Amino acid sequence: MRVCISHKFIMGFILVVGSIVLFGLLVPHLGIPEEARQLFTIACALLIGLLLGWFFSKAFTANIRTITNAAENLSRGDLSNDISLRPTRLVDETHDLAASLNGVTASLRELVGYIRASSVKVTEAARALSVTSTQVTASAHEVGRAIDQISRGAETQSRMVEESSRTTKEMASSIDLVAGSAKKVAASADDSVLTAQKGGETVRTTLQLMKQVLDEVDRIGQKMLSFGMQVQKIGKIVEVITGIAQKTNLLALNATIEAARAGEAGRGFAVVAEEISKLADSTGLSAGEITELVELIREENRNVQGAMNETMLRIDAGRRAIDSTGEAFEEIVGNALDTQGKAVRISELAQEQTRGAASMVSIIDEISRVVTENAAATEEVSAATDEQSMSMEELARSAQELAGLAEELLDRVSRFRLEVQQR
Amino acid sequence: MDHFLLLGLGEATYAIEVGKIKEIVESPTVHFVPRAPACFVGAINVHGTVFPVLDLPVHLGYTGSARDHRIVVLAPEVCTLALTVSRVGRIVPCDPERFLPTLEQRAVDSFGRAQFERAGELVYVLDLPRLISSLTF
Repeated sequence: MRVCISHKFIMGFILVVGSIVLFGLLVPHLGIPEEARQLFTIACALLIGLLLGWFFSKAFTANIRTITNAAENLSRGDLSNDISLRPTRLVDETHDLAASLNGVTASLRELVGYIRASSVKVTEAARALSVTSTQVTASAHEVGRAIDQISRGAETQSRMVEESSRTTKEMASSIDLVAGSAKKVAASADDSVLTAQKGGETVRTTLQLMKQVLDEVDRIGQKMLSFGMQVQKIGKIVEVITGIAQKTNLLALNATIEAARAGEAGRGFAVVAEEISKLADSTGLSAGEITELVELIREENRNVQGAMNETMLRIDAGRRAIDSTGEAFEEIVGNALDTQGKAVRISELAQEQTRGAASMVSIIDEISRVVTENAAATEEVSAATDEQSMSMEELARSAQELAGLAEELLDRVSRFRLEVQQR
Repeated sequence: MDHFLLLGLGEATYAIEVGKIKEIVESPTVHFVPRAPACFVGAINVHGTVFPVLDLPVHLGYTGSARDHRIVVLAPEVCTLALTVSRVGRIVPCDPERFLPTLEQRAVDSFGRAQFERAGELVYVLDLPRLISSLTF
């Protein structure tokens, strides 16, 4: 039964008043002096009032204390206990207050539990996000480094392509030079052919001349032989003259001796004999000189013969040399023609190579262009990656902040005790 | 003025008076004479008269010299003797007053009775009597 507190006070007052009336009626029958009857009645009424007050206030105070304690617990964040008042038949406003407080506690408990669960989840999510964003940042850094490497590679590639282009151009100019040289070689080979042909002609002419010279030398040899024979004849004649001169000399000597022996008579004869002797002497001297000359001539003739024989041998060797020279010239003509053909072929090939090199240069230029574009794109990607990296770092920071906030929230919420204690 | 026939003996030049020479013969046949002394090369026939031939250069000590193909035949009134020489020279005139003084020993050694100069060359006049007397058999 629900009785309001005010009703309880009224009921107590009525009971006190009723007890006064009751005791007023009972006292005369108790044998109490008259003078003490009123005092006794008041004392009994007061006692009943005090007893009633004590009883009421005790129950009331106990409830209030319980509620106060519960409220204090609540204010400390202890949501674990429900308020349970001593059961009574006379339920009053304290029980309503306790029920209301219990409702508040239940609502708070639900809210705090939800907040705690949510903040735990948020913390985990924030941590996971932080980890993920860190990983993403690391990946972004990795990507950035890779892109940097790609960028550097692209630069190197660009340099190499430029180098290739330059080298190819140099090669093209070298090939041009080769082509020019090949043309010159072809021209030289032409000249060589002409020169060699002229040389061959000259060799043939020289051979004919050599043959004429040989015939001439042969004829001269024959003439020299007959000349030698003539000189030998002269020698024999000179020998005869020498003999005559010696004999004349002897005769002159003997004539001189005879004249001397004849004395004065032979004086004129002696003069003649002396003159004859002188003539014979001079003849002998001349003959001797002629003999010497003839000897010299014969010696010279022999030398000339030897020289001519040697000359013949040398001319033979010369003829053979000229023959081999002619063959060599024919070979030179063949080689020069071959060289000419090869040089022309080289020139054609070099021209083809020049064209190939030009197309290679244009291809390399195209490659260079693509490489440059790639490098630019890589730089853009690198910038984007940097930006992404920065965003991810920002995100990581935010996630960490969020995690911190969630943790703080959790910390705040954790001072609420939620477990319901069974009493 | 006397005339002398110049003769070469080795490197030296001698002279003989023309009056003491019969004639000069050329390349006569020299006949071998058995048991003759070494300085005699043999004997020759000159117009029917036999002349022993003396190797004058060898006899006078000019060994190893060449021998002229002509032989000098001395006059019979001097000696029946023919002489081989290294060479036969010319007949030259010379005045005995131009003879140079000669040392006795040198004259003995060279068989020269006198000497004269001709064209810067010393010519011994052969001492025929001494030569002949030296030919003792």
